Amino acid sequence: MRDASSALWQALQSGNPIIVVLYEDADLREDLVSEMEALLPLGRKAQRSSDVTDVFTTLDVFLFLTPVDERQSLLVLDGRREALLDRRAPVILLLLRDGEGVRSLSEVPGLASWLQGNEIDPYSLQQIDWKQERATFERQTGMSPEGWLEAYRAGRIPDTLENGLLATQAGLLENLP
Amino acid sequence: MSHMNWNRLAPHRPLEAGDALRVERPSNNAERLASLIKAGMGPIAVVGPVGSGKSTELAAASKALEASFVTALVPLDRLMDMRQLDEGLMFIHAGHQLAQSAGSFRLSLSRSSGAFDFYRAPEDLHSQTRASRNDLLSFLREVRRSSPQRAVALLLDGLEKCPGDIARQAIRSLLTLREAAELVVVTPLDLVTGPEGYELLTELRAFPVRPVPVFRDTETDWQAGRAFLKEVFRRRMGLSVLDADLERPLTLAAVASNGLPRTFLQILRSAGGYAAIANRELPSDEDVYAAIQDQKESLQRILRDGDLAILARENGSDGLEIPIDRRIRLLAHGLLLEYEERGKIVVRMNRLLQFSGHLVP
Repeated sequence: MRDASSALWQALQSGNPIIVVLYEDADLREDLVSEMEALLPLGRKAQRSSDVTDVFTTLDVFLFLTPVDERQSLLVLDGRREALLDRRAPVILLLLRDGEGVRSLSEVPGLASWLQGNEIDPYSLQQIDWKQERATFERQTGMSPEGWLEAYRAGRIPDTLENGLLATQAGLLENLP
Repeated sequence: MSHMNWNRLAPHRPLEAGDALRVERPSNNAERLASLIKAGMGPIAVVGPVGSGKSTELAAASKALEASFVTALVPLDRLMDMRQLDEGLMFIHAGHQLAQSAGSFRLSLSRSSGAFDFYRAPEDLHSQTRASRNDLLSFLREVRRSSPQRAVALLLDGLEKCPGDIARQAIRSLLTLREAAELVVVTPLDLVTGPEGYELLTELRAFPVRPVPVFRDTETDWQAGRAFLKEVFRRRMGLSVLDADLERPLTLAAVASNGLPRTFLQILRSAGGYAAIANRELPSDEDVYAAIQDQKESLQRILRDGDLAILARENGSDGLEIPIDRRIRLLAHGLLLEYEERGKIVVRMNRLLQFSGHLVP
């Protein structure tokens, strides 16, 4: 199933040195980063940064990068993208949907090619058909997202990888109107 | 079937010279490139869309040249920031790679006190130290004179990632060394295309690395192109044979990739991820289509106003009616792709943009 959580999960686990995640606004970005942190493999370190040079120095942590100057950061990453191959955990580059960074992707063909298929737009994925997603969730689990989450949070559902993904899905569905 | 580790596909990982993972392409670009150099038909500018395999073919050509040349493969993009390319630093890296090759040939080069020491690793030099053109030229001549092959080839990768003016200046500098070494340079498309490209094309021979043919509805050897991509997959995954159940996802990914090896690997890597989420060992059609949709959306983000109309209009033509700046941009991003069909070069719109939810293999 191609939904926000599965797209994020597969991108985070893909072994790609860099992925892009698009956010709707600064407030929702914080929620998004928290959700992604919950999807990380157990025991892996994460760090948040706005400084693009951290990409080349903190090689072992999942680096959530929210650059102040998105365009300039893309140019830096494009110019040194082969150095990204030294990373042992990915950079998660957070860019504003339709913002300067996304518009600048056309200036950096090399980096854009690396990112191809690894630009996750959770907002857009959530827009696909949330009613259908909810129905699929209910068919899959036999419970509503709210009911499932309540049981999960109370520890009545085991904390496995698969259930971790379902929890993220349920969280996204729970927040929808 | 053993557990599939999809991370082994590593779409971004470049291959080294002589890498066992390299698969010979249907058009065998590396061998042709090496033959041109051996025939003295350089300097050569290697061009092609992102992800078409330029670096891989350059590395393979370097290996093929080793018997006839002291060869230095210089992956500049792995050694320095290509947005701030510095000529003196470029000379240091080129000289150091050559020194390493010369070392492997057990050459006894003089290390006179006045000469630049290219044997020292660049990272051990003072950050402000730079080599001059004279330093490199002198070293190239010395290696050439002292080597059994009596010839040197420099193969430089990464200049296509520089801003145009910086790349042009760097290539101009390198061309002044052609008396001492055969040169192969991966070059930005805009430097060898259109009116501005004529200037450099009088001094460089363009060598395109195009996508491999994969479309059944074109008069090409699409079976060979698909077989090539499937063999790339088999080797990267470390499989002794391809299971029959892999045939369909590999074929779908090959068609969706438009023949670009990196895109092919990216699609399968993502499809494998979607399959893992659903507890499937191998990707279903749904998994592959989800990965293709991710690719399509990425391509759509780099489209500019009017691109789609032009791509549709020029599909299957020679593409020469497209205004030059737009044509270069579309080609560089792989939104427009060149193929050789029936002895002619035609341009085709990247079919990922037309993906509507399913594919006919």
